[in-house]
Amino acid sequence: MVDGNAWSAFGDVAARLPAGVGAVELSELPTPTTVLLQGDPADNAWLAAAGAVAGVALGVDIGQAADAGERRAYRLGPDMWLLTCDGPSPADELAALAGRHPQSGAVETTEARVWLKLEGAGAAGVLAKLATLDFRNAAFPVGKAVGAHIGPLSCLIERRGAEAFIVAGPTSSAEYLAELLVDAMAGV
Amino acid sequence: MTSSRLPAGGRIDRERPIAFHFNSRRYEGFAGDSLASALLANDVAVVGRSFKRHRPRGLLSLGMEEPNAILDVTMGGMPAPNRIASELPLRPDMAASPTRGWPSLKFDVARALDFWPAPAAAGFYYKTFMGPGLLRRPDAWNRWWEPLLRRMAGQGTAPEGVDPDRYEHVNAHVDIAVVGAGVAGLAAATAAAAAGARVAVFERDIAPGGRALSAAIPCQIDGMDAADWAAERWRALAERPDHIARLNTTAFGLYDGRFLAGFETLDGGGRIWHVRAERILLAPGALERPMTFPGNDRPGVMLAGAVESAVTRYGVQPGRRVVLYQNYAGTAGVEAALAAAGAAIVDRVGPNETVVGTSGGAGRLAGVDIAPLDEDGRPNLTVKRRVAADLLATSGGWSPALALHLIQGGRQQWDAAAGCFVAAGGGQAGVSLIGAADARFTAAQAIASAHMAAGGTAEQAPKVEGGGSGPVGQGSPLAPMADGKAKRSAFVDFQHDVTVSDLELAAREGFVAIEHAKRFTTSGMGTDQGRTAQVATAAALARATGRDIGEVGLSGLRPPVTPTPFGALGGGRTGVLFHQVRKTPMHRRHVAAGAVFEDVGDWKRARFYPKPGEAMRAAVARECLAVRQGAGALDVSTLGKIDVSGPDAAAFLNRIYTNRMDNLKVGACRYGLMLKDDGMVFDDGVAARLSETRFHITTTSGGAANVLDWLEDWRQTELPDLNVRLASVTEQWAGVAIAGPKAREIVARVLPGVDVSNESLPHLRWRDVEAFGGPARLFRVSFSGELGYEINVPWRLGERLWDAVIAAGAAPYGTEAMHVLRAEKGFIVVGHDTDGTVTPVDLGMNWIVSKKKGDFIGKRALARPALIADGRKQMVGLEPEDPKVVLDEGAQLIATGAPSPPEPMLGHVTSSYWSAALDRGFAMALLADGRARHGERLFAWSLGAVHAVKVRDTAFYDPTGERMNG
Repeated sequence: MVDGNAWSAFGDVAARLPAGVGAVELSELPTPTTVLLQGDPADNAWLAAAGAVAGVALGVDIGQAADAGERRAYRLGPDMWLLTCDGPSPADELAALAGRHPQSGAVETTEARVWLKLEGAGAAGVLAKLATLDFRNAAFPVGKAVGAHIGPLSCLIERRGAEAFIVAGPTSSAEYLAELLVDAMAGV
Repeated sequence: MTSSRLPAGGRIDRERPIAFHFNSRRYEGFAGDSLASALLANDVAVVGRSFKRHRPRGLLSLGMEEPNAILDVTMGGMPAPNRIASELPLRPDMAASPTRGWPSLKFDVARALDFWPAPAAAGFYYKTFMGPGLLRRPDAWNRWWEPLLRRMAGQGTAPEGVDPDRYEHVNAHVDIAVVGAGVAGLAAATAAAAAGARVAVFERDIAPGGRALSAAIPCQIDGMDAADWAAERWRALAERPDHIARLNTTAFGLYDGRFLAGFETLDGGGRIWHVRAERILLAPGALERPMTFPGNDRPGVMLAGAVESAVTRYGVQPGRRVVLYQNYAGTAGVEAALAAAGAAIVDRVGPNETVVGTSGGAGRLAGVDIAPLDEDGRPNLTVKRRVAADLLATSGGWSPALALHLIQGGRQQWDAAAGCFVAAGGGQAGVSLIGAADARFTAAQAIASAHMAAGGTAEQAPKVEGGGSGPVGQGSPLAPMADGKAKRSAFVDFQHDVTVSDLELAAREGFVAIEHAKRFTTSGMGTDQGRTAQVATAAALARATGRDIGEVGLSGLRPPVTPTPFGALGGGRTGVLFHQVRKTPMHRRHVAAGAVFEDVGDWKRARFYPKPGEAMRAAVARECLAVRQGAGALDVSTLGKIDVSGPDAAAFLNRIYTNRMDNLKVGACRYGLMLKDDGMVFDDGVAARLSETRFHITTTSGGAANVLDWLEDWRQTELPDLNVRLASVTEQWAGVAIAGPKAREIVARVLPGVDVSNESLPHLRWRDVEAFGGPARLFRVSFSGELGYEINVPWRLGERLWDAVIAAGAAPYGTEAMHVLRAEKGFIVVGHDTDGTVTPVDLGMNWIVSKKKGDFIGKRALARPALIADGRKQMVGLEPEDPKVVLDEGAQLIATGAPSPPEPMLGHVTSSYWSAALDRGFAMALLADGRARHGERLFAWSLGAVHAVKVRDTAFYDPTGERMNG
């Protein structure tokens, strides 16, 4: 056995978080329970039922996040949502809706992502070094959340405040993702 | 005070002297100097040698068009080859050296070529060193001539070692991007900003203002000196956080979607800008072109605009006795500058005269020969006059800088009235040229047009007073000249030593198109990007072919339009950021166990776990025996995992795999092969049926993303009628494979209370279990041929699972042992034993291709004649006759032990290992008609070594599967 330290997907980088450089700070967020939800957006009954189970309305535009307390629904595409919450997973309950709504499905993916917060006046500048999106307030307002590449990594990027972004990236590349962001913080 | 520095004047900071080195000598300049202006101030007449003839060359210009002062420069960190001296702000740690000149810049032995014209003529090398004959034998060019010529020519010295500089890439989105912060660019940027647009302005120089910084007779803009106005406008833009204003930033590329790329030089590195703009206004200004006349390359011949800039901007007197030679009216600026510098204009070349030669010693101009033109426009050499001079200020007119316009598909045409090539449409919507780049050469014209182009109103337009009339009546920069020697010393391309004579030769040999002539002569090529050569080349080719210059046109351009460091293009992803790394949750346990890792896709996988002093072969053998005799644990978290759900999930998988999945019972799992539509093996894995409507399938570690993309492609485009959904769960589940005769005991200890008997959980079954307080899945599968299980737990519990399995008595084994174990059983690895040209039938896996079910991807291809023809390579096993031999993977199979090329290649080894269980080397191979050759004796050839082998089946170990099913 090596040691009794708690496991972290960030490996050696975990000890360097939160990392603050200049006008921006990077910190690790607790991993929320996460469910990948798929279904027919035209099926209002399913939208209502799934929203009731999820505890948050699903009727948001693509690329937007809706929240209700700690529960959030990210609309990733026409028929795909990512739901996050604290506590037990609603995946089985959501999947059970497929009995009446066969176009739907739900899979728990809590373990698949790590969650980071990038906050400060330079946060958008950090992301601009790694992603091709337009992070200006007008183009990427609070509440916008899209799938995008940060460097080579497929991530979810959400603007949660004027100077605060959430980045959810692949767990297996958590160290690499954190290294990318810390490196990009230099000079911002 | 350096020798040519004026006592006052210029936009340099005389309070901040800067020492630097050129050609190993120490010099001094001032802050505000460029490397080129500092060399000029120090009377450095010769800054380099030309490419072919090694002629001494001095500064021609002080701008980006400079063809001669292209140097190897070190600025603190990595040496950078081929940097344009006029583009480099002087820095204290700067050390520059010429790219050519041996043994010295002053005395270059290769200059001998200059006195033997033949080797310098266009096409000489192609004609002389390629083709039949002793000197032209097929390998002569590669072995002798090219290395020799490259060494003589000199191309700059590529740096070695790790680049200490830091680079980064930045993305920006703006409403309007402006390239160039001369008065036109700034007028446009100001107007756009006033209209509420987000603006990005990029200026390659260290200060805004463009030509205003060099104008000896400055114009007034809004009542201010033009340079002061530019500085004030720049400050206003730079202070606004919503705008981007960058100096030292050269736009080098313009691509589809109004995507602009620029390089910003920073201390200790640089930054690549990727700008996406709604509109792009190109204001790079205009380039002054040299006159082409005999002896025009002698140091001391400078562009008139550069002379004006030397005096006005840098406080340098470039000459004392000056001859002026321009092909247009409007010499007031350079005359005013020379007057301010106290230089004497000793002669002017009149409209009916031309320069017929220059003279001088030690690489420096001493005299200019001027002759009148006779009635047919040819120089009359009988009445020429020689004028003693140390500077010939010349100008063949100004050309709009069209490079960015042209590389994005823009067109150009000759404008006879303007005397230059101008933009003629094409290119992208939303991209416009403004200012001098749009042939608006006066400040008033440039500012007015730029202001309006950016959305300004006439009332808001800056008011311009003075500034002159711009070049009037400019035409071809090619001077009249006599034949013969005169044309061989009239250079159109200074860097590559291309002369008017070369262009005439090109025309005689049929290279009359500008692109052909460019390639035949190399005119316009090279690190100077041919900026001073393009119009002169077109003019010379036009005259040689009797055509109009507009008919000849300019040669094409491609990005980058200025030399850009490779380090910058590579960006900041170096070191640990060089490549994406994926790690399993057990990674630190593998590290602690001393694992040697291998890259599998992006994954770091433990390859083997050597004990101190143990070699790989011994370690792998030990790990294999541990599995065969006890139990081993393998981290299989990297396997791709996909959740397939929906009412038609089984039907979907029936289309994807070659075997049936619709009859798979809930609680069972099955190995499956996926084919591409060409019938070739694409991936493999295990499908487990979780419910009637849900499956969990695995893929190869490196192929997971491709498989998911492939499945999505089929789901969305070819099989949209099937109600099915896909989700990657690769990182939801960590996994450990436990294999070996004691595997059941291990699993029972790790999952107490779970019935793992053969009756309860036979081979190819699975069940939900609990582990470490979380949900888990237990699969009875084997890739080793032994009794085998795989336990999946949530990713964050992976390390705990691994610890528990090891604590229960399993020995860790790595991917190398896994390969040995599976090969002993004859199990394939996709991508190792297959290469995209192998069908299931080739692999002897007909059993997995269903004959009963309907269509599946690749089915039709499998029936095509070519895929069932005799002679296809088939998977076989090989036993080296010498059991100690381990064949090279990739070794070619041949029929004889004494091959004589060309020896027919019958096949190749795909997998080869040492087997501790068999106590011998063994291999798998693809062999033509292999299954019919079992028992044959063949030979495996690799890198000169030949080993006899016996062909056999692939099941080397436990062929009946008793151990796996037990």
